[in-house]
Amino acid sequence: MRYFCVIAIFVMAVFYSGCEKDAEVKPKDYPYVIIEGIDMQADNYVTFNAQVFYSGDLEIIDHGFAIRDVALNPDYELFVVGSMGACNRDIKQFHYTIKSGLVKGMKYSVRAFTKTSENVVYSNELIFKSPVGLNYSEPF
Amino acid sequence: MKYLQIIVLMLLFFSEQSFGQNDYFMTDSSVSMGVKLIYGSDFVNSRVCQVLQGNKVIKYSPYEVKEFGFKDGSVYVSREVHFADSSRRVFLSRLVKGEITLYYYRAKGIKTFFIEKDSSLFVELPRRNSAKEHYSEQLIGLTKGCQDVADACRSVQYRKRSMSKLIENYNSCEPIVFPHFKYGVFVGYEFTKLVPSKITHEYMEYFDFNYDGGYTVGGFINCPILISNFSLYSDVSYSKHGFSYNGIVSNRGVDFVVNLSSLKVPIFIRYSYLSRKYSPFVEAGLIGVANFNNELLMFETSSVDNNIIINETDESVSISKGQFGFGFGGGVEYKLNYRNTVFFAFSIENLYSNSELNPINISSFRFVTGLSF
Repeated sequence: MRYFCVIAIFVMAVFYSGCEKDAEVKPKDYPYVIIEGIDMQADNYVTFNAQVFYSGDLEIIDHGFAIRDVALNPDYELFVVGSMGACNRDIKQFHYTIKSGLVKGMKYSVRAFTKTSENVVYSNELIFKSPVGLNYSEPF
Repeated sequence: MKYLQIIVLMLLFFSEQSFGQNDYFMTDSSVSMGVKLIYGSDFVNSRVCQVLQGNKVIKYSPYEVKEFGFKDGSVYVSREVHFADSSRRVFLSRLVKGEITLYYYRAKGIKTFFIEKDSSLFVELPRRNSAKEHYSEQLIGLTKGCQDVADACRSVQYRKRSMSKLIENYNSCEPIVFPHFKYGVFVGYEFTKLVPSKITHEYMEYFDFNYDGGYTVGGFINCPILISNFSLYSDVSYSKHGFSYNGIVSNRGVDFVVNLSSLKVPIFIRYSYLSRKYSPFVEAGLIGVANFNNELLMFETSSVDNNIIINETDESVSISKGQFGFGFGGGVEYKLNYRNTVFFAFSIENLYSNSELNPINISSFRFVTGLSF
């Protein structure tokens, strides 16, 4: 019985250690969004993934992804490619898949964004080389 | 001059200790002192006593010589010994002389002990006797006269040094605790702090580095060094720590996030004060760590008009996948029975990254409790 208790404590401790949450950025009063990665699933499909650490104090009235052509557009001159509108404040992550063609071999930079009544927050950027062409929407 | 005198005195003292007793051998009718005996192995000495006379070696059998000894104090005595199929006279190495006298015998395929008690009992002490009784059980019966020693019989090893120590303590009836190989599991709580090295990223000075607490679990071994109070302790433990810091640098917010999952292997020399129930100990040694997850993220946040822009900074700080360091600590073991113990320990550890690029070191202290099986 004594050994059983000790082993049970050990197993629980292992389980607890394994389930312990990763550290995240400190809380902010605006939506803090980080781009997590890009999945290039097939020739014509590119999926962007973003993680929202904190939603902030204000309603999110729009969120999505914005992109720029690294060679042609300077930093921050972004074009929205995936606008997904308002969302709940408990959103943890979001994704968007581009299905239109991209220019093969062209280097792009993508950022996730969240928009509130006060500001727009752009995530860190991810640069990737895409296999297909893309029809930009209007500048954000 | 004073030091020279001390050195000469020490040399004289140790010379006297080394050569105070000369080689000798005894027959039924004579004692030959100051002879030169050839020091053979236990295997050779059990069969023959070799005396060097000039260039010649004269060999005496156990039927001719009753006892012979070397100047280092080791003594062999001729005894009639009963084996399964026969009995013959051999030389036994006398390890301890007293109320119980302990002998050791080494021959081809045989390593065994003999016990002589009160000059009336002379028995072999095999690993297991014909009744399949373990030597420790037989020893318990023989050492009933001193309970402090009888309790230690379960831990004694079937080796010359270990058995000699037990019998010596029986003869003077001094309590004895044998250190023995232990293994087990432990759980604990660990406080860990990042310590940027002197050459480090410019942002590091803006963060308030503090300790992160987290559970640690692992398994350990503790191997005695000979039969001393020293032992070699090692364990493998798993721990996970997360750190999140925030600072303002030139109107930019900077967030620094570190997630570490590590396997830690200390190799410590432990000194234990051995007693029957509580054994306090101190330990110190080297530590190796494998950080199989060492995620470091640093984000800058700048504000332009109503746009807040987050950028990941260059990864110019690092925690090595492999770290090395040192640690020290102490604790106490409580003996549950002759084999199992529980222990409580603490240790303080410093680990160093070997990266050339702004390495971050780690400082931690931990409290653990565990059980040996």
